[in-house]
Amino acid sequence: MALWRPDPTFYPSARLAMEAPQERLAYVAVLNPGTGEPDAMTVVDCDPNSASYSQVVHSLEMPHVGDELHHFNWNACSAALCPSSAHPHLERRYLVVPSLANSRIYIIDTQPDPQRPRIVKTIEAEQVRRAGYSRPHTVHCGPDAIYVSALGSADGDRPGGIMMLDHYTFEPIGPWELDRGPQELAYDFWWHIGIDTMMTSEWGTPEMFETGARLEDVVGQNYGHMLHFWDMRRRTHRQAVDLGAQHQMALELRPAHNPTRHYGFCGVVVSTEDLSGSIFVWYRDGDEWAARKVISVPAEPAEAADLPPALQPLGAVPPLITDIDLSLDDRFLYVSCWGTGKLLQYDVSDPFNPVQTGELEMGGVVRKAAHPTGATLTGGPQMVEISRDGRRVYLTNSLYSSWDDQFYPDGLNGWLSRIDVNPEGGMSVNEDFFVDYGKTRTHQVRLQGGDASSDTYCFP
Amino acid sequence: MSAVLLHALIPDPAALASLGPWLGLAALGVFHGLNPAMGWLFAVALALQRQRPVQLYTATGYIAIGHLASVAIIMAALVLAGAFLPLKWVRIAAGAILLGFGIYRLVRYYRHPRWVGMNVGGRDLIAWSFLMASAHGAGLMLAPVVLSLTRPDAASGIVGDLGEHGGFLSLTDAPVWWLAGLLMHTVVMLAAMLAAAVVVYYRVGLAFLRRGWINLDLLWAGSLVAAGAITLIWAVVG
Repeated sequence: MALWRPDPTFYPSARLAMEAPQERLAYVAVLNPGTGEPDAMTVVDCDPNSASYSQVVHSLEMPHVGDELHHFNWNACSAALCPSSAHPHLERRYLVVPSLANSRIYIIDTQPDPQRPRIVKTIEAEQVRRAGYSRPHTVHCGPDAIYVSALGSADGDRPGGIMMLDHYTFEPIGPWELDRGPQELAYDFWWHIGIDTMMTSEWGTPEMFETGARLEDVVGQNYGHMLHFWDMRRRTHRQAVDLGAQHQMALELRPAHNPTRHYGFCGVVVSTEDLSGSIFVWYRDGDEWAARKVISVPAEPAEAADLPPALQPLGAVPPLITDIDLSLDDRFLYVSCWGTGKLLQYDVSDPFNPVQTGELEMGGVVRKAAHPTGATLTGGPQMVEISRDGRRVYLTNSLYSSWDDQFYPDGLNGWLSRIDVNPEGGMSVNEDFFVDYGKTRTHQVRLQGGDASSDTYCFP
Repeated sequence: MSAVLLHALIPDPAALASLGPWLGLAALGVFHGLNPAMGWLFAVALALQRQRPVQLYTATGYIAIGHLASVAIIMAALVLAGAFLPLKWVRIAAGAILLGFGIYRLVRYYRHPRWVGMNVGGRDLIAWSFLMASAHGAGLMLAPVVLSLTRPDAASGIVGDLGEHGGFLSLTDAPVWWLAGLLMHTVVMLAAMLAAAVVVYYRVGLAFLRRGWINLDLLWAGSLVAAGAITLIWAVVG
C-alpha cells in the first residue's frame, strides 16, 4: 500500500491531467431491473490496440438483487495533492459504488488485476442510516474524506444531504452539514475547492422518483429548482439561489476545473413553461452567488401516437437534459438530451455566451436514430463521460429503471458508445467502438485513471 | 523551585561551544522546510489561486510562526522536565515517546489531520502550521539535539565555563540560548520553504510534484524512530 512516489494518476492541475495517456479500461455500472438478476460492475476494454477492444472483459455481479447502481467514483483522486491536507501516496484503487435503491455502498478493489475487480467491503444500509441518510448517490474524493450525497433522510424522506466516509477505512463518519439552512432536497454536489465553497443541487424525495417521474409533481413544481452554496470550512449553508420554480429538477453540477474560475454549469431537466431543458451558469456577483440561464433546448412537437402514455398529454418530446459534462480545459460542455435523443456540444470558453459546436442524434423517444453501424439505439444519450485529454466521450443510455420504463416503455437495451472529438469543436460517433449490453441497462462510466468528472484539482 | 534545580535549565556550555547541536537544528530545519506537507506547497497554491506571488513570502512567514510555536512547546517541555527530573530519566522518557510515535507514524504514515480550507488568512495559516507540525511530531524530532544541550550535571549547581567563548552563563542568559536554538531551526526551516516555493513557482512548475513528491511521511516516521533510538541508547550508555 505504501507508494514511494504519488499515484501516477494524480495531477496537480486539470491542465496537466489533459496530458494523461489514453484510458485502457472503462468501468460501467449496469442494471438488471425486474429480471431477478443482480446489477453488476462491468469492465470494458477501451484500448484500440487490444484484441478485446470494445468488449466487456469482465462482469462483477453484486451480491444482492435490485441495487439500482447509479453513480460511483474513486476512493482517491488528484485532490490528494491539495496542500492543506495532502496524502499523495494513497492509491486511486477502490471504486465507491452506492446502491441507490438499497442504500448500501460497495467498495470495489480494482487491484491487483484491474480487469477483475472484487468487492472488498460493503457498507450496509443500517450504517448509512446511522450516518443520517439513505439513497446514497454522488461520490467525490475530498480533501479530508470521501463525500457522498444522499437523496433521502435516514427514514427515507427529507432532508437528503451529504455524508462523509473515512478515506482509508471507508467507515461512515456521519452527516456533513452542521447547519443546512433551508435545504431539504438533494442530488448532486461539487465544490470550488480554492474558495472553500460547496454547491448542491435538488431532485426530489425518494417517493418522488422511485416509482417513476410523477407528472403531478412536475406540474405542481414540487421537484427541486434551487442551487445551494455552502461554506466548506464551517460546513454551513450560506445561500440558496432559486432558478425559478418552473425549472424542475436541477441536477448535474459541473464547476470549472480550474480552481481560480468561480463559475460552473447546472443542467435542468425540464421547464413547466415550455418543456424546454436548460443550462444555468452560476457565478460570483459581488459577495453573493447568482445564476443565469445560458442555454435553452426546445421541446420537439410529436404525434400522440408516437409518444409513450406519460408524454401523450403534452404532444411533444421534452429534451430531458439528464446529464452534462465539462472537459478538463473548461472549454467544451456536453449536454445529454435523453428525451429527444441528442448529444450537444458547446464551446463555453465564455461561460455566459456558449456557442454550439456539435450535435449528434442517437436514439430518442420519437427520433430513434440508429448508430452509424446500423445498430438500433433504444433510449437516448444519458450519462456522458469525457476522457482526460478531451478527445473521447463515452455515452450510456439508461436513466433510472422506473423512468426508463416510463419514457421508453417498448424496452430499453443498454449500450455504451464512443464519440470522437475534434479538438477545435465538433464530434462524430466512433464506428469501431460500440458495446451492446442487450437487456442489461447501462449507467455511469468511469475511466481507469480518472476522467472529466472524477477529480478535484487544487492548482490552476 | 530551588536554585539548584533551576541550574538545569542552563544549556551545557561545552555542548553550546561545539558545532554538532547547531548543525543538527539546522539540518532538521531543512528537512522540515522541504516537506511539501509542512507548508511551502500551500504557499505556492495560494500564490497561484490569488495570482499574487507575494503570497509565497507572506504565507511561508505565517507558516514558520506556527511551526515555531509547535516546536517551542516541545522544547520548553523537555527543558522543564530536565529541570525537575534526572536527565537520564528525561532522555529515556523522550526516547520512548519518540520511538512509540515513530512506529505509529510508520504504520499509519498516511494519516493526516483533517483540515478543510484553502481560502485562509494569516491566523489560519499559523493555526494550520501549528497543527501539522504538532501532528507530525516536528518538535519531538528535535529532542535528541535539545537534550544534548542540556547540562548532564543537573543537580550539581555548578555554572560552567563557556569554553573558548569565555565568560560564564548565568540563569538569565539561559533563555537567550534556548531561543537562539529555536530561532535557528525556524529560520533555516523558513529559508528551505521559501527556496522550495520560489523554485517550484518560478522555475520547475507543478508537474514536478508528480515524481518529486517522494514519500516524506515514511522518511519522517523513520527519522522519528531513529531519533528515539539515539536518545534511548544515549540515555543508557552516555
